[in-house]
Amino acid sequence: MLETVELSKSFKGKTVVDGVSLYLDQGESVGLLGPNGAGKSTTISMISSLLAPTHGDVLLRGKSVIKHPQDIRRVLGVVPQEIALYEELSAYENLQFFGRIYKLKKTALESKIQEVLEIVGLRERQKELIKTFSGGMKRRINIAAALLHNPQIVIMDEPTVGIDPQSRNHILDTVRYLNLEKGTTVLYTSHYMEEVEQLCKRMYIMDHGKVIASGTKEELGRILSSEDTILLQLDAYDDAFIEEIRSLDPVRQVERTDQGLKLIIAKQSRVLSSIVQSAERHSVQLINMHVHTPSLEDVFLHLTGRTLRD
Amino acid sequence: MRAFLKKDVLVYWRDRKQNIFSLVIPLILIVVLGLLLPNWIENPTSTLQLKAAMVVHDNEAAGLEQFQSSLKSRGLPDEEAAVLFELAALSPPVSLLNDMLKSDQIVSMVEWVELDEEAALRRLQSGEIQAIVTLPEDFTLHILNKTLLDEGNGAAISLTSDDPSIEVGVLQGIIEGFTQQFNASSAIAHAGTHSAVTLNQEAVLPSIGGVETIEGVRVLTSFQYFTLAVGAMFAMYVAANSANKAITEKREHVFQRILLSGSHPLTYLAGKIVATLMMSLLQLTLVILICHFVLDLFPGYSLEFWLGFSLLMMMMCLIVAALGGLFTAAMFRMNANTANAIIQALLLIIGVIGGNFAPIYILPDAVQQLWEWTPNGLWLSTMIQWIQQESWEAAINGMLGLSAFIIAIIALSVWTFPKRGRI
Repeated sequence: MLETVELSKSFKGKTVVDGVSLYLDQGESVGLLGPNGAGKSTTISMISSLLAPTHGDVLLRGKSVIKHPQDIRRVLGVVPQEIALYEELSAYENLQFFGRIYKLKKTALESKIQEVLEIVGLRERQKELIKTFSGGMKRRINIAAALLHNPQIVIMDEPTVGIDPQSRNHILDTVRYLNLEKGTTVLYTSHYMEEVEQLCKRMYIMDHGKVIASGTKEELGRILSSEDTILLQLDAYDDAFIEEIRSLDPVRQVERTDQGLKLIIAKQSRVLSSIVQSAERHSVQLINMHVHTPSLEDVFLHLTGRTLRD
Repeated sequence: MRAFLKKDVLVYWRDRKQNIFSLVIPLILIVVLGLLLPNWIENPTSTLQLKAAMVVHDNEAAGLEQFQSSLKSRGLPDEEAAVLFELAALSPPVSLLNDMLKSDQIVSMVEWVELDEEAALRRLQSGEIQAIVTLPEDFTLHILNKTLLDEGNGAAISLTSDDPSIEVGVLQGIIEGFTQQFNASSAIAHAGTHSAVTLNQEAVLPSIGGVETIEGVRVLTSFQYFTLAVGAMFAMYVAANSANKAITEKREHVFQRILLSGSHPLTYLAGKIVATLMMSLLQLTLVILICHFVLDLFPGYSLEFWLGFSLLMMMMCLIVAALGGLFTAAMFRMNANTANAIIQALLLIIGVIGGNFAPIYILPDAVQQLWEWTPNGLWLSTMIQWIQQESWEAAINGMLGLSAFIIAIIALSVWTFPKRGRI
């Protein structure tokens, strides 16, 4: 449905987006991950036709957005990272203004305002001024404003930054509702890996203006390694126990820790029952056992050398 | 366009702090300036200060006695001689000159010291005084002989000064004015005696000093001046306020959201211009109406006057609206802090040159020449002419000039406002 082809942008000779190619299928929810300065917002600006690329193109159903910006504006809703609302106006007045500039007719606009307020759960507060709202409520109206014209594609740029857990959950529910119930295509950028993991089937990881990895959560997880880590918390153990554990086939490495042992094993191998049996044979009390599978955070750290919040 | 206008008007209207600033501060300033400087406009000389010496060689009483004796020696009929002497006694030139020069209005400008000639010259050389007014010997006798009997060459009041200042020039003008008016009044009285007209005191006692009134021209009061000047200045700040709101829209990405809707950037700019027009019209109207009712600014003026006044007010608000567009474009075009500094400096400069902070005549000549080259100065000048003369010709000329300013500023705004893809 939407595709970027070798999209690049330079400002005063400095390349901030470098050959980004990504795609969104209809009804899909896709994550765009990257630390600050990775080039996510610039990519979004180019996709939404606010910024002309230095090189490359954005295609909507195969048609160039650069040449026909009106096409994407009709079907695209953008939720910017900033609270792009008028503080001195009420929630209703803000939505009325944004609806009018999308040329919605009076009756249609009125029902649409009530619908989007219902979606973001702020219908009861519509007459209150935005400046009296909490950060989370402002972000919800920020989303509502992007939904007024029934967009087929919604781009959300860090929609949950700096808000309370209740509003955050509400926003995540809203994204799920839009994607699953209404079939809206979603491009979701966030610093919060767990949000992207929950909401998106596929994701792109950007750093220094480039897409450095992409795929489903499982595909990205495989990038990291073919190993899992097991942490054993033990009461007391001897060298014989360590040697027996080391002799187990899937175990590749054994290290002593403050509370017990750390084992590196082949990925998804069935070794837990063997470990328990060895412990019983050597009368070692097994207090706790934790299998650590690499998360997307680990993948990101592995790929970029820094965490998402750096 | 209507959506933009409604949004902007609501945003302005709810900015309580700014509204209070735009309405209350000018009212306070107008009242304070009008009360503190009540004669700045009516009597501009009150701002001038001069120290001068009066050297009197004449003896007025002796002069009158000599004039009376000379009347007898001419063998005039007793009745005519009595009338002439009565005239002379009623209007002794030295007393009249003294009364005029020591009047409150002149004393507010000139500090007089009584000195003999030698001391006066010494002080003039040392710079302690800036001028010497000298009445020569037998001044009274020679003046009376000339004005009432048309004999002799009269006598001259001399003004000595090596200071080419405005103050000395004004003093010279006052003395020349006195001389001309005294001569004219005496000539009328003289003619009256010869035609046996009853002595008319008003005719022989010239009204000198105070406000010189030209026929058909009203006097502009300080309150009127400051209401227009301060009101217009604060209306121009509505333009700066518009630009500040625009930069918030840019910073918070509201403007980007507007562009995403497919709205043309110039629709946004047009909304700003019209909203600025409405807010400045409201602000200026309120300031002028409140001042009018509280200070009785324009008592008994005709409907025609109010029509012209309203048209000119609309012209000023159109100037403000155009400036609002230009300032908004500047905010989008450059760094907000730089643009804001330039806007504030520009308002300050055109405010000073345009006479919004102080009457233009107290500024240097070079600045005065630029007055009507600023939109606010041209407006103030046109408005003053309208109040004084109610001349449609002058008003239309002024409005044509203001229209040129409005068109030029709006064209510059449109040209400067960034196009899509450059914001």
